[in-house]
Amino acid sequence: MGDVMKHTIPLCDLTMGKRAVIAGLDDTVCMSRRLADMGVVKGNVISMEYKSMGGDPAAYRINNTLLALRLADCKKIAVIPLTEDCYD
Amino acid sequence: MTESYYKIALAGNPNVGKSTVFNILTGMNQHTGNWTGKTVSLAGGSYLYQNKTYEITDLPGTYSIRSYSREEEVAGDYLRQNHSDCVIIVANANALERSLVFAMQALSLNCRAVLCLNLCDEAERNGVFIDEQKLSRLLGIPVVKCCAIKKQGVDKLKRAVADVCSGKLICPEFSAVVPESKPSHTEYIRELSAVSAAFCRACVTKSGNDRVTRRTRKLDKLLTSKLTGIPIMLLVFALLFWITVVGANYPSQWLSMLFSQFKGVLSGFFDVLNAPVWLKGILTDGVYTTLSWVVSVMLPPMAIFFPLFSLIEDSGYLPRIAFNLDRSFAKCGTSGKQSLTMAMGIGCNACGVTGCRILERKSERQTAIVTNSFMPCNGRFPILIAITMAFFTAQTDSLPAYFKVTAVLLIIISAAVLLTLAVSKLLTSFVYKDGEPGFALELPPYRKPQVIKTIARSLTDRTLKVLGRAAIVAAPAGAVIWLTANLHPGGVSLLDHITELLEPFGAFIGLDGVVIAALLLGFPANEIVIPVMVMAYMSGTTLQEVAGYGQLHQILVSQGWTAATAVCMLVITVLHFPCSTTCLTIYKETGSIKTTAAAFLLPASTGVLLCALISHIACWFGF
Repeated sequence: MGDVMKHTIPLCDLTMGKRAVIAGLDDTVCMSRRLADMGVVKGNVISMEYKSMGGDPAAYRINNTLLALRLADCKKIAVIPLTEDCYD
Repeated sequence: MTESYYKIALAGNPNVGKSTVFNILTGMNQHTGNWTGKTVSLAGGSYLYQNKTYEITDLPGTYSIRSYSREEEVAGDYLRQNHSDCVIIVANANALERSLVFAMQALSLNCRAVLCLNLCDEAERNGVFIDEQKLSRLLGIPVVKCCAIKKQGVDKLKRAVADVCSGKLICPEFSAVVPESKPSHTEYIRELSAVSAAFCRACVTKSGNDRVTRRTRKLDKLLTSKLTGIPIMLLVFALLFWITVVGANYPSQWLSMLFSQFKGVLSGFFDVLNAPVWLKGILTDGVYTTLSWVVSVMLPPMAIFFPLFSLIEDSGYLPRIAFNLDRSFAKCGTSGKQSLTMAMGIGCNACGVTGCRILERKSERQTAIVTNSFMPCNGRFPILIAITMAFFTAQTDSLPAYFKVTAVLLIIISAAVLLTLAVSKLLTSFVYKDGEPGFALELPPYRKPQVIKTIARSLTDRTLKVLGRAAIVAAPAGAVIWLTANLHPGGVSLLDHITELLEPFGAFIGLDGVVIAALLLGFPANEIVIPVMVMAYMSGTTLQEVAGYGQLHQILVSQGWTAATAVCMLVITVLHFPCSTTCLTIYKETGSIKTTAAAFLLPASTGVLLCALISHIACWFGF
C-alpha cells in the first residue's frame, strides 16, 4: 500500500497524452457517484487528452469515451501513471 | 397471452444513438439525442412484426438507473415498476465497457432483454471488433449488432425481441453482481466495472486503427484551443444568424402577401353572408390578421433556424461550447452546460427552459431557468431586426445593411450572455445556494449529421410544434387586440386609454405608453409587438403592416423617437417578461409559483432599470 501511495499523483498532474490507472477518489469529490457512473472508478485506465482554452476543465479519455472534468475534482482523484504513451 | 400487444422499453446511456434506434423501429418522427435530456419526456411508439404489435417506450438516456437526476429516476422507476415484456438495451459498440455497466444494472431489474450493439460501423472504423455470440453467452441475453443510421441489423433486432417476448427464448436471471447488497453506489459500480472489463477482454479485439478517435482529436484541437475556439464559435453563431436573417426575409414577404390576398376573399365572404360588422371585425381584422402576421413573421426564421441548429446539435459541437465556456460559468457558480440551454433559448425560450433538465443540481437548474429569457428568442428577433434596420442602417435591403444587423444581433446576444452570467452569479451567491457545483460532461465523437433527415425532422417536430403553440395563443390575442382598438368607452378607444395610462411609466424609461401597451399585448406572442405599435401610432383599428423599414422609421420619428429611444426599445425587447408559453413551461418544469414569478420579474426589472439609466444618461448628454 505504501508503495502504491508513493507512486500516486492527482489526476490534474497527469501530463497530456499519458495514461494512468485510477487508484481511488476522495468521497468529497463533487458528484462522486456521477463520476463513477461515467467510468471514473478505481482500477480503470484514464488518459489525459487536452485542456480547454482556460486550462480548466480538461478532457480525459476513459473506456473510450471523452469526459470533461474540472480541475477542482481532478485534484481529488488519485492515479498511478503508466509509462507508455496513449497515442503517438 | 392475455394482452394483445407486447410492451418494450428502450434504455441506454446518452450518446449511443438510442433515439435513432427508436426512430428506425417505429418510423415515428422524434429527434435524435446528442446530450443528456434530449428525450425529455417518455416518447412512445409502436411497430408491427409478424402480426404482433410492439409498444415501445423510449426512456431518457442516463448513465445509471439509481436516482441521481430526474431522468434517472424516471428510467429506473419505469424499469422497476413496468413489467416490460422485453427491454432493448442500446449499447455503444465503440465504448462497450461503460455501456455494459449500464446494461448489467438494467438486467438486474429486468432480465428479459436484448442488447443492441449500436454504432457498429463507427466501432469498426475505430478498429473495434466484438464477438457478439460470446457476449450473448456471458450476459445470457441475445446480442444484436446494429447500425441504426444505416438501418442495418434492424430486422435481426426485431426477431430477437420477438423471441424474448414470446418466450421462445428464455433469459436466465442475471446474477453476476447482486445489486442491492453493496454498501455504496460507487462500490457497486466498481464491481460492475470489473465484470464489464473482464467481459470486454473476452469479447473485444482491437486493431491499432482508431480513425474516429483521431478525427475527433484533430477537430477538438481546432474547436477548443485557445487561439481558434472562441472565434470559431462566434463565427458559427454569426453565420447562423446571418442565414436566418437574410434567408427569412423573402419568404416572409411572400407569405404576408399571400395572407393579405386571402384576407380580401375572407372579408368578401363575410359580406356575402351579411355578417354583423363586429363579428367580421373580430374574425378578419382581429383573429385572422394577427394569426397570419405571427405565421408570416415567425415561420420563415424558425424554418431556417431550427434545422440549422439541429445540424450543429447532431454534429456533436454543442458540448464543446459548454466545455469552452465552463470556466466562465464556474466562476458564476453554475455549469458550462447552462450555455447549451441558453443556445436553445435563442431558438425558443420555452425549449430552453425544458432543456434545463440537463443540469443536475437544483441550484444550477433554477438559475438557468430563471435567466433563460435573458436570451432573445426567435420571436423577438423580428423586433430587434426591424428597429435596427429602421434606425441604424440605411433602411434598405442591402448587403452592408445585413452585415450591420448581424453585427448588432451579435452584440446584443454577447451582452445578453454577459448579463446572464452576472445575474447567475448574484443568484447563486445569494438565492440558490447548495454548495459547490460539479461538472462532468461527455464529449461525444463528432458525427456527420444526416442533413436531409435532420432538416425534415426538425421542421415537422420543432418548427411546427412551436408555431402551433404560438398560433393557439395568437388567435385569442388577436380578438383582444381588435376589441381594445375598436371599443370606444367615452369616445376614445380602449387602446388609447391604456396607452395614456402607461405613458408616464413609459416616458420614465425612455419609451412611451404605446410600447409598454404593445409589450403587454404581446405577452402571448412577441411577434405582434411592432404591428400593435404601428396600429396605435396611426390610430388605426387593425394591425398595420408597414411597407418597409423606411416607412417604419418615418412613423417612429414622427412620434418623437430618437436613437436613444431605439436603443431603449432594443434593451426592453431583450429584457422584459418571458412570453406566456415560456411562463407556463417554467411553472410546469419547476412546479413553483415563486420561481415562475422570479423568472417573470427578474428580466422585467433589469430591463426597466437599464432603460431608465440609458434614457437619463442620454438626456444629460442632450440626446
